[in-house]
Amino acid sequence: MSDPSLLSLTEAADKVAQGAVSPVELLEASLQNVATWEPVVKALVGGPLEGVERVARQRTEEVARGEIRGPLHGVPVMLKDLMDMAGELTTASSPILSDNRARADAPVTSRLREAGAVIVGKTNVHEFAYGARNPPTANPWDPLRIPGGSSGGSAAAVASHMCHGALGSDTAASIRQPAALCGLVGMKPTYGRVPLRGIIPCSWSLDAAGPMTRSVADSKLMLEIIEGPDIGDPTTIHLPPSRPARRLRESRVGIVTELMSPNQPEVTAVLNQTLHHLEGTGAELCEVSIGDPQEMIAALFIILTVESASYHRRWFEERPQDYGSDVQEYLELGMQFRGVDYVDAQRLRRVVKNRINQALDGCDILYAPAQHIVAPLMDDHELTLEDGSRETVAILLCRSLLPFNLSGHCGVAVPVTHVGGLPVGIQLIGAPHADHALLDHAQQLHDLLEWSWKPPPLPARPSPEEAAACR
Amino acid sequence: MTKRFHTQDAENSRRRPEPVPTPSTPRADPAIRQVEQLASLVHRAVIREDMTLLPAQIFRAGQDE
Repeated sequence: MSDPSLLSLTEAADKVAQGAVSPVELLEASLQNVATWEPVVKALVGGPLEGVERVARQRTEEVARGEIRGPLHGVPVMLKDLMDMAGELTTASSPILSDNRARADAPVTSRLREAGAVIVGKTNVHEFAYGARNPPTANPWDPLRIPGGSSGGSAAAVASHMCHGALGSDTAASIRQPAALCGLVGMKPTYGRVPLRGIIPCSWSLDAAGPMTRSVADSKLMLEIIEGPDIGDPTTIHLPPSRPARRLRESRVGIVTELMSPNQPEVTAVLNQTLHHLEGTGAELCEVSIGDPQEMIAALFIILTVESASYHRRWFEERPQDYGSDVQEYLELGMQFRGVDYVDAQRLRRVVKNRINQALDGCDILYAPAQHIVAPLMDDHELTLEDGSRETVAILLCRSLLPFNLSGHCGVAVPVTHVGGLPVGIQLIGAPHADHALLDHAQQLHDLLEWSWKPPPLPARPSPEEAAACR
Repeated sequence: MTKRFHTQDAENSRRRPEPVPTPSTPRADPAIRQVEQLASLVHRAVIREDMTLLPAQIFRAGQDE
């Protein structure tokens, strides 16, 4: 086999099970990509985990004995560094947790390990999941641009083939947005579907953990592995049975009016072209309204900052200087809201959820932009849009995504094309717990568009010292 | 001896306490202004939309289907 790191997650798992490639070969290929890419994209916290080669050898020996642990046997994956893995550090990319060694696996970690996955490393996160710039990580499609965040390390690692899939978390766009900026599939499951225990919280009532992969089928497989109730996590529920997705040509698709614009012109062109293709199948497109995005941004901001101010309160009072200045500002704001502001925000949240449910009562699925812009340069803080308006990058990166954090609905960002070498995607939103039907619809869309993942161009070769530092 | 109740006492008892700075009190700090603006935007929306929601409905957002 030429380069097993080019296999998708599902292909890699199938080939391991067939004996066509070994877990050791898969890991070696992943580590080769870490050596090539890590000096450029800086996706990992502290490099590959110690002992990962031993795990890959064990999985290889198990295959030789005919023992397959599960559907990810021997496949290299990574975890966002908010997720506990027994014996390893969980730092949330913050000095506050620099010596926080996990005593047990988070359920999402143990489920991946029970499925046979080889966890190669922990990925960089914007400090405590509190932002989209995700320093020091860079976008593999253009290292002068941000990868998005806060799951930017996971996105950069998957896009540069350091692993076959990774987990992220999404409180206010943090899976779907970096996935969109890096050309990946990023799935935010319905709230309550995937356990959050053992994951450093950003905002308890908004957080969701989910897969980031190079194909829809890969996200579906990872979701099947990590979803389901956890006795130690009261936010999880017993999953209702999955409903099959309608065929595209029989689908009624709601276009979320308030979220469709303004965009950069090239993004609008891609959205229009995608909807035109969809309409060409016979799918019925209709406009739906979910309300004023500014109100939703305000409600989400209040809930997020207040819940995280509560979580961080002790540390923030004792060691404020150990937080980055941007996180300090957010936590200060969270401390300023009144109890009545928080309850108002939760009440508005219910209104938003009802409105999105009503929109989905008349449609099979909703469509909105995955991003209004392509990946911005690291120095971009404000951008001009197609209507001549200027908007802050921080708002643009989450505007079309966070209504569905507020409502708890499942949403997936799927890539549809590249413009000027940068990925552009679209967001699909499904009814509560119709997560698998949502992914089935996304797969049909990819089939229609004949989308297939192509890796980003290789970066300039690192110096031997840089490469050695990443091993 | 019963203390005579003066009109002035009644007025004092009705007098509002000194205003405590809250997010609804305009202040110069841009962060406080931002807090006020966001809270006010959400409050106006709540008044417009629905005043009858129960807390149990609110806090089950996302997982009651």
